[in-house]
Amino acid sequence: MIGLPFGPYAIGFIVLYLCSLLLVGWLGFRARQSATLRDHYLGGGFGLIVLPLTLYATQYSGNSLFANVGATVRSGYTWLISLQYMLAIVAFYLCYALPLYRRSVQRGYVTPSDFVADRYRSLPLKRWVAAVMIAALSIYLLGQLMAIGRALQGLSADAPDQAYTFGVIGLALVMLGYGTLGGMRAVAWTDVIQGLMLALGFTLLFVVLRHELGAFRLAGEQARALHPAAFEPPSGDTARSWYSYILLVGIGAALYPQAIQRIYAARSERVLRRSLVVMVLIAFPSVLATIAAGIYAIAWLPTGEGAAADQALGQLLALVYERSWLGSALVVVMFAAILAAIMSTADSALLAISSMLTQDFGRDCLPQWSERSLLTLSKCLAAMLLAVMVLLSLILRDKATLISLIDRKFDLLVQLAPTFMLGVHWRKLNASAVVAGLITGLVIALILAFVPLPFVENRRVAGIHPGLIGLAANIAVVILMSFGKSAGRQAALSAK
Amino acid sequence: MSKTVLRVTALIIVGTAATPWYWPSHLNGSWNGVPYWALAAVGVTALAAALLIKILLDERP
Repeated sequence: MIGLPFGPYAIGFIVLYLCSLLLVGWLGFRARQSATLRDHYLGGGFGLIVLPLTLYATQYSGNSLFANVGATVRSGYTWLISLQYMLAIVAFYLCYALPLYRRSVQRGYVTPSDFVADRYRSLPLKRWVAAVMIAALSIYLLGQLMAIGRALQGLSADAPDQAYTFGVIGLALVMLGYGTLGGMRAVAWTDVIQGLMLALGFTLLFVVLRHELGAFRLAGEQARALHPAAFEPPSGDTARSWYSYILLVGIGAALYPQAIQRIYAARSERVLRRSLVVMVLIAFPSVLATIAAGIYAIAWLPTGEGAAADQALGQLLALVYERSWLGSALVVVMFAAILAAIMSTADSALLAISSMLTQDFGRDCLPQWSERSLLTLSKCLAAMLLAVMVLLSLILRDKATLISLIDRKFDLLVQLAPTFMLGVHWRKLNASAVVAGLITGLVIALILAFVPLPFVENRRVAGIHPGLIGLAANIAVVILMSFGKSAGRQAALSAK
Repeated sequence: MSKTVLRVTALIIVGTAATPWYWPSHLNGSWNGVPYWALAAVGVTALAAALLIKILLDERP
């Protein structure tokens, strides 16, 4: 036994929930219209129930729960920034999602790189974009698997290490089951269950804590006495860092490959617009509930730092679970919501990676293969990738905090902003300029992130994330080269 | 007002909410355990949310 505090009814509920995901996966498999990559990776057109819930479940990950509560424990109310960056994501979607959707309807895109190949007519750029997205998503998937382990680790007082291992391997197998069976259709349908469970969980989180641990005002006063810095407004230095964080997460998360595939999968532009409205509205209860949980954690738990703070939510739930039957019943639902948050994000990332490996690399390398063979290949690739990620998440168990994982992923993804956000609007933008800008941005971001330099403190330069500094250079190169090439072409035409 | 102006305004408001440099340091009380500056930040963010919703629901091409 791994020593989890759940009784047979609680375990039964969670097993039922996991079985419902496998059932939906099987239903998704039954509902497939053809054995093609497009059908497997985009499903049918999603309407106003499935699309907002799949976007919600995908965007709000295990990180949203565990890292947000942990970050509130570390930073206090200044972590309200997570509310602002969730809105910034929608603001950056508005920079490109609607024109991209119109284009995808006309051209039948499957992966984000399909847009790149169609817009820029450049195989090297397509490969670069796919490689950056796969690298960033692999980090993301790893973070989600580690979050699954931490969810069980925080709840298990007797055998936390075994609980971590059990959580990572067991839930990875469930995800692989429904994801490979039903593809995007199954993942989006399970996202409906997971999104509803997540919304319920966020609501219950505050209700349960208030019911079991007392009024929020009292927790606030206690937390203020224990950790007064958590109640101070951000200093000038922190404010600069926060501006950087909002831009980094706003741009980076708006460019998640799985989110781009959901843009393609919208039934209509109207559905897409309304789904984004739901994303704006739902940010408030979702984020504020985790901030409140962080304040309760400061008041009730010994303050942890680094990876230990990321376990605050699990420990808080374990504390509530022991206090009454109502608390324990609600914690079980909350626990299912946490699994929903993590799994819905991880399955989408896994699906997006396998789609890009197959469509952007496999199809070009194996032109003689049929759609059905490519589909089988994509499922095998998903299984192999997941096995590698499970192994890594077991090896890296206590090596990095979740937030540091997020930082590196966004440093990579933001470099794709010119490719998509400028590319859908600016016709003069050309492939060679975008490749040069992308490589420049990546090199700068990675050097600043990983090479010890005297002016880099805490992996930031004057509070600014390496990814944004790389992006500034990236945009400068893209604009200069595009104008330069355009001017050169005009001069050549005039000479003729 | 053009959509671009509205989008940029929404982003600036989001940034302003995250960095309440405008909050007077002597007003450091709280309401129900929540500092006034944090309440102000959530309020300003709600304004940005309203702007984003207006842009999204405005379906003119």
